[in-house]
Amino acid sequence: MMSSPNNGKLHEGHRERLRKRFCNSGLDDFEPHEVLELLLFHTIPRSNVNEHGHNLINRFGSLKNVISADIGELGTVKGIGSQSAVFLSFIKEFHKYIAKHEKENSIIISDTETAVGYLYGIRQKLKPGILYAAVIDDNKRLIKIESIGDLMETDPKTLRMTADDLIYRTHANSFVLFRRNDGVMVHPRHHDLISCNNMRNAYMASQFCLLDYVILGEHNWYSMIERREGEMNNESL
Amino acid sequence: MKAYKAETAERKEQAAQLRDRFAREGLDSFTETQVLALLLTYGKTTVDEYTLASAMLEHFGTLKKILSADYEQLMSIEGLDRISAILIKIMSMIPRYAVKDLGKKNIRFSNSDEAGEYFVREYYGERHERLTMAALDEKYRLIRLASFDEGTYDVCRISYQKIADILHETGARYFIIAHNHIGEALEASIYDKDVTDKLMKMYPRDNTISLVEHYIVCQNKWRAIISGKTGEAAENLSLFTD
Repeated sequence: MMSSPNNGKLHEGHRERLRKRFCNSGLDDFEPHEVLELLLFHTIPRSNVNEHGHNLINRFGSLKNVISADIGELGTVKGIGSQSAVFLSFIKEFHKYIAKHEKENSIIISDTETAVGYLYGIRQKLKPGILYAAVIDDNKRLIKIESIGDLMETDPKTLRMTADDLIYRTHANSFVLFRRNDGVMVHPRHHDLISCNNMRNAYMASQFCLLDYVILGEHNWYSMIERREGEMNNESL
Repeated sequence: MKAYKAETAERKEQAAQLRDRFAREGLDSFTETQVLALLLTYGKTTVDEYTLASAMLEHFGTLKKILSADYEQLMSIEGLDRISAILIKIMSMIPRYAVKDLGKKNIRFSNSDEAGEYFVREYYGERHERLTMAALDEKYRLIRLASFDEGTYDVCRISYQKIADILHETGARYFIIAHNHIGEALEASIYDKDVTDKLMKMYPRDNTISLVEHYIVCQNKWRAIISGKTGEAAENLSLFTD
């Protein structure tokens, strides 16, 4: 049957209603074929995909089985073209990719030692004078590292706001501040003291934790929270 | 106009290449940016998917963080359209839906293993302690699964009044309560045992309404406090891992 312009509007209205329902309450109240409809909107424009959703569930039994099916099997279902089959099989692979990637790339930072052990590996890539933050999730996995600002030229309030923004958007639980120092001395400068105290006070009563503020010298480091110096020997590196 | 058409054609070609490559080889050789770009080809973005994917990864850090972002955070990314943001949110909810088999109807618990597995699925991916209550009819069919607010289990303690309200509203004959432990421990605490004892006294076996079991779930394992049984539900929880 040919799809008239009115049919197109009708389908678009249905699509929009389903999307709004999803935005308001998530997937919990969706039937499996409706979840598939939501997905198929992205590969089959301007037509009724309700029947396709039913066809998939009738054939495979559940959403889990649909997304676990291979591309060839999916393509044999009435209404499911190669583009939809590729997309449906991509869903499971996408999540498997994320799980694998997270596991492989998880760097655990639980204390000053583990932080220093990791940070020395990237020390050469750091710009001297720049304050960086390593943000960590609630499983103590490193999320990412970002520069917070120039320690000498950025005022402490701005450094704090930049750290706030980083913590918020990465859903971090704790963080380590650090900077590279190219001199022999790793003892803190005036700016380190101000920034460290400012951050420590700001996060003291919050749910986020400043694990440490570390100055990374060529072969030794200084922990401002623990007030001690340590050495990086070749074995540790 | 010509430049726009050429750009659109180029993007279509790029999208087709990504999809073909995935269909041929899977995602093993893809970078995070390419995986995200591939997902974005199913949205309606008007900007180059690679550029947008790079910007999003730069902003959020990882693909996992992008999936965890809320709708408003996603929409704050320049170039990301509403349809793509909704697609990302749908993608983020698919594992939970699939693992928990949310579309399944007429759930009935014929033994403690089935109920244990059901609650393992219910708590799949949960990052906070939460109490749930399953109200059952006389044939142990699930009438309603009620969820008490997240984090309330160990902080505010159990609400006996809420349990009574749900039992009254549903006309349940039996009920099960369950909560999850974050971390590794599946052991029942003194408080867990006290709650179980109190509920068993309030709703004993021979009563018109009775407590069947109190489950503790930790990762893919469960412990039934009343019967002392333990079990594991592994099969479907590994859906998204190798």
